Parts: sequence; structure tokens; C-alpha cells
Amino acid sequence: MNTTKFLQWRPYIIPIAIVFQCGILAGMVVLAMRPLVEGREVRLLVETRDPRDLFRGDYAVLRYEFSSLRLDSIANDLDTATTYRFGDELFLELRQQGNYYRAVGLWRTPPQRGEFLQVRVENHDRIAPTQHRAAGVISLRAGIEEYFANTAVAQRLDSLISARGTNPNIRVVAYVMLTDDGAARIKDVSYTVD
Amino acid sequence: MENFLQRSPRFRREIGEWVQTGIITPEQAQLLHERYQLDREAPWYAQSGFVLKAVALVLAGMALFLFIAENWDSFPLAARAATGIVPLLCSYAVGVYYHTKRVSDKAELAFFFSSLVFGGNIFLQAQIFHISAYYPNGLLWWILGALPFAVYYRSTLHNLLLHVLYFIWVSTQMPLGQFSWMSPILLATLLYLLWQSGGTLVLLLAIVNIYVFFMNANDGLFAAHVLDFPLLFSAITFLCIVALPLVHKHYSKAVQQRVAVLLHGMLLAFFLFLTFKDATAEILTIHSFTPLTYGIIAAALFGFFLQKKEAMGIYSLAVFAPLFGIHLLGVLHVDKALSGLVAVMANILFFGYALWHIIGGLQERVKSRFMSGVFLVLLLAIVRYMDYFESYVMMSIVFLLCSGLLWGVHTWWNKTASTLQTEATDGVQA
Repeated sequence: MNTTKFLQWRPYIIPIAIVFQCGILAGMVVLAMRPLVEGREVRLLVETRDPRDLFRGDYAVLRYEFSSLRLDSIANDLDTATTYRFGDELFLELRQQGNYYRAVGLWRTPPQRGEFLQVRVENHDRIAPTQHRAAGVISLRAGIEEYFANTAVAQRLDSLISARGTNPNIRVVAYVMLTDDGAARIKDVSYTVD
Repeated sequence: MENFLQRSPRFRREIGEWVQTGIITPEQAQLLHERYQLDREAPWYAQSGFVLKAVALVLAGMALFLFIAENWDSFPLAARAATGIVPLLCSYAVGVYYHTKRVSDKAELAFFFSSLVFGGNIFLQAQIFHISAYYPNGLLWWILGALPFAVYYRSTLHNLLLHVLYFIWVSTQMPLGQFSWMSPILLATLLYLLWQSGGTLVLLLAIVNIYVFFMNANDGLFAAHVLDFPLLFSAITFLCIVALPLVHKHYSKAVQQRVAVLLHGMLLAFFLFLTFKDATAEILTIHSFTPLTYGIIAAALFGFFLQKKEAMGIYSLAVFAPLFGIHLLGVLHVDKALSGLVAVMANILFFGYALWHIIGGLQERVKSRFMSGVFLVLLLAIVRYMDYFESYVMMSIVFLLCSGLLWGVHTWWNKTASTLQTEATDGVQA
């Protein structure tokens, strides 16, 4: 852009910049709130770790049964010849079993019925396929792996997991709001004693 | 050029002297005062106070981040959001106020704070809603949000913020082996802003970001090639040296020279690295490089042959060529058993390069070039002493030769210098 054109546009840049920044933040809030407003609640069993983020503070890392899946233990239609890469999108089918939802299938396209989560591949250790089905271990991420809380809460969640060693009836549960298209948002994390 | 003279106290004094010595009339001086706003307060870069205020705002921004990080999850959502939104809106209001009053330096500081707080708000929203998305995306949105203010002001302050954010953004992608197509677009924008407005610190950060960009691209697009690193890094360095004259209009000769010497020094370090037999043996095991590595080399060579041949460019080519040649031996599957011979060749080439500087310095009567050659000889000697510690006899011969060489060139330099002085004196007397 030459100097003359830039000088013509210059007076508009400040208001555009302010509107643009506010638009980004508003967009973030709208997308973040959508599952909380439109979604249904599902309960997922979790495990935790308690690290710290430079910008967002203390948080608990939530790991679920599907965070690392053995593909020969779950129904799937993954391509047996493909090694899935970081960021590839898949769909994790969920079904209620007792008080909690469990993963029952991993698909390349959204299931026609039932609840499902949009997930992304973090890592895929592919091995020789078994019975025409993809095999190996696949790590998945659903966007509900971090629960931000103050230090005391984050550490309490972590200590609950440690307590499970002596009391396996302790369950740490994530209450997740899930939309029809698989978008999820954590509503709360708590614990129960079965 | 015009921006540099705006409200400059030195230019104002200079014009005063021109009027006193009759170079220009008072009416012409007044025209210059109006054109360059010389009756107004000096711009920010002439005032250390501006820098201190900017640093104070950075600390305030960091304080806000720490406050957010405490995570006030017992407070209502609106109150938590307000901890970020209120400072943001206040900074906009202050910025717009000073902008309309045409107090540009205070407006610039206010909008700089806006950009900092905007980033804080992104992470605050992530915290409130437990957003666990791909982490670098938050930084990407921060850069995009801060970009319009940087485009408007084209100042060191805003450009520095963008460069720091860009560096962090690319760095967070590298461990994941990811490469974003926004990366070249953003880097091109940052380099365009650098080309427009200059700034020594911005130049240095831009060079760092060029390195991280290419390394991220090499890893993300072609999978990790750890052994590519020496050649890739050297190629990027050579490219930066060749490209440096493009931004010459903003920097003095001294600054350009220092940056070029710094880059050239890094290139020499890699060349010195190849004089070790173990390093050469490792290099000969690399049988391929990525297309990106070859592309950077081609671009650097193209740029070199296209432009006026700057001295530092020629010196850098003289270093890069053997460096690249040795890497090519690996591509040609030269037997690793010959690594000793290749290392000897590298030592001879390095010594030859140093000798070239010594002789060139003597011929051109440039002491700095002469001394740099001497330094390189000494460096090579010390490195070889450390490397071949077992072989005392060989090293004693090497040191004797170096000693003789230095003695000889010292004598030659003094003799040449005194001859010149005598000729000059005779000429004056005549």
C-alpha cells in the first residue's frame, strides 16, 4: 500500500482496531457459551493432574477413558492404512451406562443417532490392523481437558485422585454440556462417592 | 525520512543556525517549522520518559495477567469478566480521548496498553469457560487483534509487542510439529512494518523471528530434521546478511555493520564447528535436506548476485560456500571414513579464509580486517589445541607456524606503514 492510499485509510484504522478486538472477544464468548446454552448435560469420569498455565493460572488436567484409546477395544471405522495426524477430526460416540457416559465408538463422520463428541487426534501409534479394523493406540482431545480453578480447588481435585488409591469408590466427575454437533464445554467438576 | 525529523529538537536547533548564518531566510525557517511540527514537543524516541511509561504499562499488563491467573471462580461470571473488560474499555476511552486531542504519544501508549489487556481478556475468557482449545490459537488471535494498532502507529513499541507475540506463538507450535499458514503471512506483515519504520531492537527481533519461522516451517512441513540444523541455520544467516541492505534507509552505517558482523560471526561459528572431525563425521551421515533448505540457499544466492556486492556479503559467501560444500559431500554419500580428510580440508579452508583477511587488510590498509584475520588464526589454533590435545608434537608445529606467521605479518605491517608514512612526508615537503 503506497503512502497516499495509507494516509487515506489511516483515520479509520483506530475505530476498526477497537471494533475488531471487541469482535474477537465477543466471538470467543458466543462460541464458548453455545454448548452451555444449547447443550445437554453428560457426566464423564475423569482423572486429573494439577499444573499451571502462564496466562490462565492454575488448572486441573482432566483425562478421560477416551483420552488414550486402544483401537482394538472400541468399534471404529478408521482407515487401517492411515496414521492419523495431530489435529485430524473424528467423532466419539457416547452411550449412557449407569450414571456416566462411556465411549462406545470412534468414527470418521458424525453418528446418525445418540450423543457424540467432536474430538481431535493428538497422537496415533498405528500397528498392524486386526480383523479389518484399525489397531494401535490413539490419543484424543475433545476441548474439555482443562478445568481452570484457583489453586486450592485444583489441588483438591488432584488429591481426590490420590485418595482413590485407598478408596476406589471416589469418582471425579466432569459435568459437560454437549450440543447436537458434538461441541462440548465443561460446566463443572465435582466428585461423588459411589 | 520525514518521520525522523518530526518534532526533532536537533533539527530545530540546526534550522536556527541556518538562519543565523544566512543559509535560509526566517520565512523559510518558519515553513520548515510548520512542515515538521518543530514548535511541538519532541517525539517519543527523543524522550526517555516515553520508554519508562511503556515499561510501566507492560508491568501493569503483567499485573493484570497475574490477577486473572488467581482465578476468582467464586465470583459471578460478570464480575470475573469485568476484571478484563473494564481495563480494556478504559484504555480505549483514554486512547480515543488523546487521539482526538492529537496527543499522539499518549494515545499510542493507551492503545499499546489496550493490546496488552486484549491479550489478557482472551486468556480470561479461556479461563472462565474452561476453553481447552489448541493453545497457540489464543496467541494468534492476540497478534491479529494487536496488528491494526501497529499498522496505524508503525512504531517501535507496537512492533516490538507483535514480534514478541509472534515468537511465542511459533515457539508453542514447534514442540507439536505444527505449522500454520498464517505464519508466513504474519511474518511478511511484520517485515513490511519493519521496512516502513525501522527500529534496531525490532530489527534484531525480526531476525530471530526469521530463524524460528524457517525452523518451524522445516519441522512442520517436512517432519523433524534435527540434523538439518547446521546447514539450515547457516543458510538462514546467509539470507539475512544478503537481505540486510533492504532496510538500510532506517539505520546508520554503524548499526548495519554491527548487525552484519553479528550474523557473519554466527556463520563463522558453524564453519569452525565443521573443522572438528566428529562434527564432520556426523555431517557426512546426512544424505538429504528438505526442499525448504535448498530453497533458502537458492534465494540467498539469487539475492547475493542480484544486488550490489557488499563486502560483508562477499565474506559471508566465502564462508557459506565451503560450509555448503561439505554438507553436499554427505548428500553425495561420501564415505564417513573420509571424515578426517574432510575435516582437514575444512581446517585448511578456514585458515585460508583467515589468511585472506590478513592479506586483504594489509593491502587495503584496513587494520580491522587485518585484526579479524589474526583473531581467526588464533581461534583456529586454540580450537585445534583443545581438539588434538593428545598430539603434542603436531600442535607444537602448528603453534610454531602460527607464531612465525604472526611475527611475519606484524613485521610486514610495520614496514609497510612506515614506508607509507615516509612517502606521505616526502609528498608534503615537495
